[in-house]
Amino acid sequence: MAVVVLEPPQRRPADWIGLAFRGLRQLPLLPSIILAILLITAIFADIIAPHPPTRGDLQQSLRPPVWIGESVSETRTVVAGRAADFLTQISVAEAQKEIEDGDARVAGGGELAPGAELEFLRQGGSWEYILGADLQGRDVLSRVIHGTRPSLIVSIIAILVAGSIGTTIGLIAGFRGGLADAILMRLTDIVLSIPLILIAVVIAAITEPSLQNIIIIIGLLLWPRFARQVRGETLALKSQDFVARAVVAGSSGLRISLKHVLPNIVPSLLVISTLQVGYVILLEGSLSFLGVGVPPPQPAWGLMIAEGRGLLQTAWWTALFPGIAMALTVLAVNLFGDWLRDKLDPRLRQI
Amino acid sequence: MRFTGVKALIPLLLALALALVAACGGAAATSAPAPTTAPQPTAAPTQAPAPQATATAMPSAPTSAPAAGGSTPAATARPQPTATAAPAPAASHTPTGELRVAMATFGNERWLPGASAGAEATAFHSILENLLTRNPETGDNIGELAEFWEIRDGGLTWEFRLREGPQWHNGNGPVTADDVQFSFERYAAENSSNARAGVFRKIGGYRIVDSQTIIVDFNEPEILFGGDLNSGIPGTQYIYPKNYIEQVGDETADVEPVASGPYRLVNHDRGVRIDFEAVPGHWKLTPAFANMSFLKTVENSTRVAQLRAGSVDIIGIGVDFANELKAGGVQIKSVPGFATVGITLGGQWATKETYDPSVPWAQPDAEKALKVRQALALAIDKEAVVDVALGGLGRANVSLPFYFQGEPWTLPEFEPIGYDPDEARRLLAEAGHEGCWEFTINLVPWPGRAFLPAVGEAVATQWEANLGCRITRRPLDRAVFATDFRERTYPGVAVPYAMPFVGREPWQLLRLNSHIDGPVMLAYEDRTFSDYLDELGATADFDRRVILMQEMGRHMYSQLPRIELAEVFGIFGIGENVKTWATAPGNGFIHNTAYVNLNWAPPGQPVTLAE
Amino acid sequence: MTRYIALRFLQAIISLLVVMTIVFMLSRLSGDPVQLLADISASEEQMEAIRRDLGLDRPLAVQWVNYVRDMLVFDLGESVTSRQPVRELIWQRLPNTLQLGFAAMAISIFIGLPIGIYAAVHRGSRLDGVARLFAVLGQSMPSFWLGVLLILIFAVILGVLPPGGKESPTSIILPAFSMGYLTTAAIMRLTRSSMLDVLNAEYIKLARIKGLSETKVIWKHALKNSLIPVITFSVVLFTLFLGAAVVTETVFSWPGLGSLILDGVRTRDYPLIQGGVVVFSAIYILANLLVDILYGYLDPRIRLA
Repeated sequence: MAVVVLEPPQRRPADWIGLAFRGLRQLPLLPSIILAILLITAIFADIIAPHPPTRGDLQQSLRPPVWIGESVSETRTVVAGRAADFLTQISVAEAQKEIEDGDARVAGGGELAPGAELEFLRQGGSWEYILGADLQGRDVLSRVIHGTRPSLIVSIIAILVAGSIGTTIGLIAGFRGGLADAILMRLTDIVLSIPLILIAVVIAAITEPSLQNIIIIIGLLLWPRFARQVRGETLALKSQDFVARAVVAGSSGLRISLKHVLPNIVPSLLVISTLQVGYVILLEGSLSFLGVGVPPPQPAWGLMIAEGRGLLQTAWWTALFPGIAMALTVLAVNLFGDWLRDKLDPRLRQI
Repeated sequence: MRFTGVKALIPLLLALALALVAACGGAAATSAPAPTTAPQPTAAPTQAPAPQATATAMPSAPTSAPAAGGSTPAATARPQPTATAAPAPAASHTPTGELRVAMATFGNERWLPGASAGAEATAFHSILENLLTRNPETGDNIGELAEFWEIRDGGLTWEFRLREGPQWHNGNGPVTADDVQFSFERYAAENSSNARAGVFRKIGGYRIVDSQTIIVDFNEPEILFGGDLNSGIPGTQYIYPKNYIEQVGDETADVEPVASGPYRLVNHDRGVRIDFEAVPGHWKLTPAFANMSFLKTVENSTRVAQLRAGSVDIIGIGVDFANELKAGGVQIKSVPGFATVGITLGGQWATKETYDPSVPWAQPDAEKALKVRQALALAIDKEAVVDVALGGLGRANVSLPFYFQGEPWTLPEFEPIGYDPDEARRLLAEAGHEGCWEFTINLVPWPGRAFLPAVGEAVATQWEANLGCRITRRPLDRAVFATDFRERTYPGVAVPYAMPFVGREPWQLLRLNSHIDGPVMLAYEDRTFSDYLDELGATADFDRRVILMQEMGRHMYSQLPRIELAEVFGIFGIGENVKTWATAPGNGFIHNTAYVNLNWAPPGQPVTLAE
Repeated sequence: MTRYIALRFLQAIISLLVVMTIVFMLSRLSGDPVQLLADISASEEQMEAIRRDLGLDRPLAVQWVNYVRDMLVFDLGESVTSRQPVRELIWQRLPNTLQLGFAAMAISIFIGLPIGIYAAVHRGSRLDGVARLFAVLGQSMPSFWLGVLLILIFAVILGVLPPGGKESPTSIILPAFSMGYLTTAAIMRLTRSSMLDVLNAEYIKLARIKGLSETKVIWKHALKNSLIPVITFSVVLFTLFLGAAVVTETVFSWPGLGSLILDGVRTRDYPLIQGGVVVFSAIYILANLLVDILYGYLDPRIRLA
């Protein structure tokens, strides 16, 4: 029995969050917009991104986002003769050079002399690097934009791979029944009972990181989810009249599967696929974060977060923006998936 | 429909705001430095391992270098007149509290002699002792367990006399000459994974004169043996208790070590933590802290957070985190001369099977190959690499590894190679490789040198931008790259590598990692060069060695087999509980932790609490 | 029922065998393990000795049989780097991983369940909206990113919780929360929808018609029945936590099995990887077996399928 989403009888006017939320759910305008933007960015990344994503300019290293002004990064004492270290002191000659290069100034605008405090300046943001630059002087915005590609490519292809394997196995198992069903479903259960991330990490680490490897690994580990669902639906459909009639009419198994069963499970396949996209994006991110995903210097969100997490004090923008991009994407996909599920197949609510 | 666009945005904006607030907390701390931000000198006025002194290591007067192993008895270290008869110095203080040290790795965590290989095995430093150690102020070798040592016959014979005081923990008796022979034999054994096993295998025999005196006879001259027996370098040639290990067997001794240091092992959770407690009335010193714990925290940022949150007092960390520490108001202790960073260009060794003549920098036309190497060197802005990948804590003033400015072997002509992209392009075109070609750069985060991938990335970026090269980055674990090293199968691959300090003279390290007949090749492989290394190893006279090193430098400089980028500092992050900490010059790995908050004094002399 | 359990059990054993074989193949497919195990300066003889030592000179089939036999009697071999029995290394770490898993589960249930119930009962209220927003966000936030932010906020800026390691009883809070956050949302959603299903059921309507108080309807009738899927799901959650352990333990330096295995991966310590993955998977498979059996109890239709 389908669960019908009932409108609550009354709503208080102050309930704006609930309202907004329901708005999101019922008319997934925002998720759709985000997804559309994502797709467009992924396709036209080369045109949209202001800078090449992998080519850095070391002079722009850790440049802050546009809204952050020039700041003093550290202060050292000017000493006569050689500086004792590079942390607290600087020699007059070196200080002179820093000032000439525009990297530093004497605190309080005084004369450059031993005993003065030299303030090192960190350049402010510029419109050229709207979201700032990373350690290697690469534009964060451009990398976030190009980072949509690996995320989407991995999730779409991996899910296609998983979906085709899973659907085939699910159909055969559900339709054939008997020994085939037993064997295939046990196989499914076996793969389902394997800790996915762990195996993915081990495999990815052992087989040098690359985009193809990630896709294959995730694809191969994800298919059982599809197989289970498809088998269940096939079993349910098999007992229904129109399939039973087709069987009686002597149609071949393959024909029935393709003509009667498959079209009927397409909606739930779509729903599961959409709901998996977010999961795969997070999984790919985790692998990249652990250093066994997309190899550098390619822009991948997980990799950017991993690289930026050591710079939270000095350059929070390097980890924050890819994190937001990732969270927004997954959020959009999940909301969209929720909506799709409610629309197409409310029975799947608990998935 | 009750949906409105603006309202739908609210949850997302909220999320965004939340995240921004979270992150800007960090930003706020950055832009408004707290008073503590300015890093203070870590040493107390009374005892200052002044970074200046540590920067270029030792006094440059060649004759005053017992560290380098003098050729004549005159250069022999004299026993401290007070040391022999003196009992363990009475402690001026009672150890209190706990010192907590976080590091990225414990190495392989084995406590058997000869079982640990790497420079990362810092855990040993706190419980074990060595025959010699290094003076934190001058870098000279001084006695630790040995109170006297002498080199004879141009390095063929070494005599050591041990102190009377040192005792093995848990009542296992005094440290004797037998223990020394036992330990050395273990290092030389076939299954030894000690980095200096080759040196110990040159030992022809031992003469035990009495319980405290041992004479070591070498088959061939070994003039810097003292440098290999040293607690002040990243190495593990410690002295182990013979009787104890033979009594309980290797298996037990591997997990329940007995040692002679000022701390003893209390608890060892493999891969998690190691706990120590101070040994009361220890001959050398009484630590300031009653307990000490080493914690293994693999993630760099978590380690930094632990220090900032005050849950640890010292962290080992790479220079790539220097700015992050400064921004967080954390004190930094820096160790100049920790390593020299450069790029090894693989496949140049014409004598080996893996030589690849098709690689432009190794092509048979030596002149063209040299031009290619020069072009690659000129196309790198070394200052920018120091600023970006080394946190500004380095100096782009080296042209050869460990040929630091001010050393007698560093000739004025060994000028660092500058940054000149136009000249680089011209040279590359002249060599017939205009527009560069396609090759791979390996990015391997070596222990204690996690900045290497960032260095590699910065170099690759510049080669691409300035020369038009197409470079594949290959991130690798060290374990995997070890295979490549051994097989020398990386022709045509560029490898960023940082050579850590192991001794003052440059050839000390190079003979370990760059000898043509050696097991590993990290920098140079070339017959002439190896001949120099052999000759240096057999030359007891310091002045003669200086001349040899100058000649070797000329050879290397003219050939440019490896592109030297910079001298890089080692750094430690230290918390408020740490007032002083005397560390050996050039040693950027965690060591000497027993001396934290003590005024350093040579072993055998009273060590007092700082302040 | 006995037959069903026996069947599932047999299947679990086969699963374990498959995992063991995958791991066995993995460590042999990726080049010569000896090359990776030997020290950087090892001679050819030393490498030959290692090969003999590990039995790598014997035929693959023999190696496999020996390996499975050893695994079954819990002889997981010796770590190549530390030379300690892998079994002991795992026993030291395993409790920490389980502890973290249970803590995360507790957080999910104690936060997710009440909010879920409230949201269902007061459907359409503001809290319901917030709860659902929280739920959707929870499923979208990369846990490693959340971990990084949590360390920054609670350990570094506020300084109220330890940033990593396992040194004080409060050390577990941040990692458990970063793991539990995602599933709190899931529990909440599940409780809410399951509760709504029940509240719309005929017998609840009947109870209401009979004039039972709303409190009694909710707490006595609705809750009891809507908890069944939640309880079962909790076990599923636990398996999710095991999966997430690698990442979380890495971010927070939690000394668990996940970070042990990752260490093994980094140093190519194959005995450690093999043992770790197999033990990990065994627990995972066992938890899944428990889920199946629970479902079987609660819903006899599954048993018959």
